[in-house]
Amino acid sequence: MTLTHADQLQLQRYLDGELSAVGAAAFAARLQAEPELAAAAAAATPLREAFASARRTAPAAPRGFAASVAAATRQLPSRLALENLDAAAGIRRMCQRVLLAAAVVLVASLAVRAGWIATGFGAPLQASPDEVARELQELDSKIRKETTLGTGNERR
Amino acid sequence: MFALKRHPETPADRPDQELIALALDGSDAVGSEAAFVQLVERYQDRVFRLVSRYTRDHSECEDLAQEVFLRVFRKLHTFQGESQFFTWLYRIAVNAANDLVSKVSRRRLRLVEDEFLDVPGDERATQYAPDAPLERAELARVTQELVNELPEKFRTVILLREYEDLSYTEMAEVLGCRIGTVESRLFRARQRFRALLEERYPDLVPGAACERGGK
Repeated sequence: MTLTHADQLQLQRYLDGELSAVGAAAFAARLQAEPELAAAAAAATPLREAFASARRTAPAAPRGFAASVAAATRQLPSRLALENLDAAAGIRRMCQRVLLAAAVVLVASLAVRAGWIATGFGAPLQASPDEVARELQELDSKIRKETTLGTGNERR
Repeated sequence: MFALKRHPETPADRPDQELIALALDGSDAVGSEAAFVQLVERYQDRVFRLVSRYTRDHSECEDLAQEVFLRVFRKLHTFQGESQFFTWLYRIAVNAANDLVSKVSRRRLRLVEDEFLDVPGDERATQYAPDAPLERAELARVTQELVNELPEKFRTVILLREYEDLSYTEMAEVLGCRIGTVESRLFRARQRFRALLEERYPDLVPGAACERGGK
């Protein structure tokens, strides 16, 4: 029997410590009882070792980093100006969207008027004479068949 | 480098929310800057650790970390307090890092490996780490190399989970997606990483060499 996707996800949650105490205890019991599940858990160990080893090598911020950030923020506009800039950018984005939508509608309506897009609105319901004649022939033959069947039944 | 004086009214143990309110307070420029500096000091190591995974050297890492905090400064007034501050900060850091990566179109990123590296102790790391220091360093190099080859979505979830130790909920906040998406992305990322590890370094995966040999 192979592990289901749900089992694999549950194993991942268990190994990541994302299960509740009750859930983790229940899953630990399953690990004891199901060798295949236990083997899948064991197979995850090399990955965990690899990530743990890479986790150790991490740089720390150099001394004076916060002060250099503070100095850089002094070059920025004031807080009020930043908020205004942000608000203006929001309005600009909104206007751009409205303009874009209006442009799309305009182009679509022009295309319809120019006949680039066939709508069928207002077009007369016309069919070619040949088509009408063919329809009539089919209808006639259907009626003939029904009539023939009907008289046959009456004679019986 | 000038020394920054600590504002007398901004003790270091203030919660994030109070520091943010102070930093946004336009009436007291000195207090506002001091509060922001405290936020930076509180999170600078975490940001450095995260962005170092996306950069090639220490100088690039420092530039990127500074860019992250400048973005935070510019956008601080938009922080609503609905999520934790650090997950909001991480979201900005991940976006800035991905911007950098796509900007320079790097195919292979290298781990920051220079004399400035600080190697803090990590209980979880020691629990799993092999005994020999050389082996561990090699494993770290290989792991980083393979993580850098993962597609951006997979790399980010691996970094957030395996290196930054974020919970699924925190990752969902950083990435702006559902927990189910985090789980499935993490599952696929680990599968992809394992496949790469088995393919390139089968000796590091017990059983992989036999499986490949048996095929």
